[in-house]
Amino acid sequence: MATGDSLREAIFVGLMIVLICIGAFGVIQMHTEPIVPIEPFESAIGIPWRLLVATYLFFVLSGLCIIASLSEVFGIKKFTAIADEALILSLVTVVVGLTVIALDLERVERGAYATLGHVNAGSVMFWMIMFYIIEVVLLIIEMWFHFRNRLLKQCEERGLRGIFAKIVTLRFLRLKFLEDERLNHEIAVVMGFATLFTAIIAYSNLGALFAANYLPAWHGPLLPILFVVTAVVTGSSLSIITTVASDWVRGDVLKRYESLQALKFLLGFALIVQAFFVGWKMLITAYPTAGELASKAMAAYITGKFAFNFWIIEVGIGMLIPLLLLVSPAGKSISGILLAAILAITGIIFSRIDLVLGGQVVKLISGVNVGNTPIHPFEVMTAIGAGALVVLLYYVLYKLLPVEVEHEA
Amino acid sequence: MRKKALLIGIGITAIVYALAFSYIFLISPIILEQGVPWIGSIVPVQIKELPIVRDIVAGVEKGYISNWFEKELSKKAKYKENEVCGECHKEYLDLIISSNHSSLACESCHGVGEEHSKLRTAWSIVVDRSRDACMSCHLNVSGREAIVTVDENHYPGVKCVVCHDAHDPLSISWSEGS
Amino acid sequence: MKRRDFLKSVLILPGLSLLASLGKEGVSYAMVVDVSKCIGCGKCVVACKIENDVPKEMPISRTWIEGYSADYSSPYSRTQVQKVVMNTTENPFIKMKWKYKTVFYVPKLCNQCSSAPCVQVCPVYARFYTKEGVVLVDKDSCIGCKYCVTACPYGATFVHPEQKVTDKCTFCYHRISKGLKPACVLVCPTGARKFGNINDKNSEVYRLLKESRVAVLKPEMGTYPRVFYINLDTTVVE
Repeated sequence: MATGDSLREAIFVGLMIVLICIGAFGVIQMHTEPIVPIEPFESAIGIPWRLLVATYLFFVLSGLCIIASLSEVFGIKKFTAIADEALILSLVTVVVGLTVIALDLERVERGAYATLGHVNAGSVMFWMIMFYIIEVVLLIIEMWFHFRNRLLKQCEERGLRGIFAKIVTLRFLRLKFLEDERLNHEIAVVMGFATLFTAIIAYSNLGALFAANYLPAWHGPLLPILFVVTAVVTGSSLSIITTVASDWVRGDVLKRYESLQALKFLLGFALIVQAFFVGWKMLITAYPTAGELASKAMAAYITGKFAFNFWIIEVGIGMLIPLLLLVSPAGKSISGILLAAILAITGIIFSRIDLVLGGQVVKLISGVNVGNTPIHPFEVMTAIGAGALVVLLYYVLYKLLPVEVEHEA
Repeated sequence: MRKKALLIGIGITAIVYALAFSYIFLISPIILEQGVPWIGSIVPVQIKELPIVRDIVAGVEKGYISNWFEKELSKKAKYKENEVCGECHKEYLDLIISSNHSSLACESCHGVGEEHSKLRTAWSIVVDRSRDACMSCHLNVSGREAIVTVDENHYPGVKCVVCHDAHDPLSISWSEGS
Repeated sequence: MKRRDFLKSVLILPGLSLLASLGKEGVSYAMVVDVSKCIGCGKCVVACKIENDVPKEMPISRTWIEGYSADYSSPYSRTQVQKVVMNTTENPFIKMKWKYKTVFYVPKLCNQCSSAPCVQVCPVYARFYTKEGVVLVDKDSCIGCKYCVTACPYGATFVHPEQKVTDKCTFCYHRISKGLKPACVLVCPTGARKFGNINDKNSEVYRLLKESRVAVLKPEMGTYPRVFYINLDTTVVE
C-alpha cells in the first residue's frame, strides 16, 4: 500500500515537472525564438495584452485571502477547517501570478532600475505591483504566525519536515516571547486583517488599471467591484476543489461536509452578485446612448467573435448551470458542489480571457491595422506550465507545513 | 495579552506600509531628479564592472533624468538636408528651387544621404530613372487632386525622363523619334 | 523657468505643467498636416523607418498613412467607410480599387499630447516630456509592460520587435534639436506636413495655425495633441 502511494506521488510530481518544462519551453520560445524561426507575435501587433495577462489576472484575483480570513479574522467556525489550505494556495497563486506577468514583460531585467527609484508614482500599474508585493509580504508574515505554534511542535520530527520547521520558525534565535500560543494566534488575526485590507485594495486597483483605460469595453466604474466579486467566486470554487481533492487523496471524503456546505452558500451568493454586475455592465455599455464605440466594443461579445465564449461558457457554464446545480438536490452532495465549482472556475478562466482579448478588439477600428486576436500555442504552453507550477508548489507546501483538517467543525 | 498582539500586528503592518510609501514618495524622486553621488563608493568593487550594475550606478549617481536627454540627443541624423547636398551639387539645387518641383527635397527622390555624404560615390545614392519612380506620385489614382497626374495611356512604356527633366519638369525636351 | 524647476514641476504634475507652459516664452513644437495636400505617396513612411531604425517589412511604423474611401449619406451613421493603412514600405494605394468615390489620405503619427496617457500610465517613468513638449521614450529603462500601447488612443505606440521595448514617434528629436526638420517633413513632396515652433511668430506653423481652421484627432480624450490637421474629414475623427 505504502509503495503504491509513493509511486502514485512520484508519477504526479513527474507529470507536473514535465508540464512546467513545457511552460518553460513556451516562455523561452516566446522571447528568443531559438527553435522555431518565426515571430510569434507578428500576427498580434496591436493586441499587446494577451493570454499571459489573462492568466495573471486569474491567479492574482484568486480571492483565497478572503476565504482564509473568514475564519481567521471574522471567526466563522465553519470555515476553520479549510483556512490552512486557503492560506497556502493564496500565497502560491499570487506568487505564480506575479511570475507569469514578469515573464510576459519584454525586458523583465529592467526591474532592477525600478527597484532603485526609477518609478512613476502616478501610474496605476506601479501601484498594482506595489500592493501585490505588500500583500505577499503581509501574507508571508501572517502565515508565519498562523503556523508557528504547530511548526514549533513539528521541530521535534525527524526528516525534511523537521528541518524545514527548524529553519522557518527561526528557533535558533530563541525568540522566547513569541512562543506564547495565544499571542501568536492573535498576531496572526491582526495580520490577517491587514492582508485582507491590502488584498481588496489590490483587487480593486487592478480593476482600475483596466477601467481607467479609454477602451470602451474596459472603461467604466463597475470593473473594480466586479473584480472583487469574481475574486470571491474564484476563491470559494478553488477552495471547494482543493478541499475535496485533498480529502479524496486522504480517503475520507465526508470529513469536511459542513465547511463545503458553507462554501456552497458563499459561492452561490457570489455567483448571483457576479451575474448582476456582468449584466449591468453589459447593459450600460451596450445601450445605444452609450456611444457608437461602446456599442461596437460590446458587439464583439453579443454577436461577434467572443459571443460563444461569453454566452455559452461565461454565462451558461460559468454562472447559470452552477447556480442551478447549487439550488437543486444535487447541491447537497459533494460531487454536485464539486461540479458546480469546476464549472464556475471554467467560466472565470474564460471571462478573464474575454476581458483581456475582447476588450482590445475595438482598437482595430482605429490606429494601426491588426488582423485578429490570436492565442498563440506557446502562450497556451506557458499558461499550462503556470497552472502546473501552482499545483506543484501547493503540493510541496502542503507536505512541508503542518496542515490540520481536524478542527472542530 | 490581546492589546499586545494588536500592537505588534499593527506595528508590523505600519512598518511594511511606511517602508513602501517612503520609498515611493521620498527616495525615488531624489534618485530620479538629483541623484545620489556617493552611491558609487559603497558598491563592492567585485560587482561594479558588471554591465547592468554599471548602468544603474551611473544612473543613480547623476540622477536618471539628466541622462534622458543626452541619450536621445546622441543619435545621429541619417537624412541630410538640402544645404549639405548643395555643397557639391549646387547647379541641381538651383535648378530645382526655381522649378515647379521646388517643394521637393533632394532626399525625397534620391533616398537617404547618410552614406553618400561620406563616400561621395555614384552608387551610394539612389538615381532611379524608371517610370515607376515618377508614378509613385504622378499616377492618376484616387485622391491626388493636389498635383498634376497622368494615367497609363500617357506615352505608355516610355520613361518619364525622356521628355521631362526631373529637376525642372515643365521644360519638355520632346522630339519625334523617341 | 529654470530647467531644474521645470523638471520638479514635471515630477509633481506631469500633464498640467506642460499645459501651463503652452503659449509662454520658449520653444513649443507642433506639426500641422494639410490633409487635402497628401497624395498617399508613402515617402514619409519609408523615410521614417530608415531614419529611426524601424523594421521595414513589418506592419508597424512610427508614422503611417490611412487611406479613406467614403460614401456619405444621411443620417450620418449610415455613411460607409473603407479604410486601408500603409505602414510598410509597400504602397497599397497605387493598385487600390476603392469601393466609394470620395478618396483621401490622412498621415498619422504620435500626437505628442500635452497631457499624454502613455506618460501617465508608464510604471517605470520611461516616458517623459521635454521642455519643448515632445514626448520621448527612455529605451534603457522601458520594461516592456505594454500598458502604454493599450492606453494610447491613437494607436501610435508599438513594441519594437528587435529592441523589445516600446517605440513611437519622437518628432525626430535628435534632428529638431540640431535645427533640422523631421525626416517625414523633409521628404514630403507636396508640403502636406509642416513642422515648427508655435511661439515663433515667423514660423510657418504659427501662420497656418492662425490663418486656417484646424482640428485635432479625438479631442474628447482630453489629450491636447500637438499635431493639428487642416481640412480633416469627420470620417477620420471617429
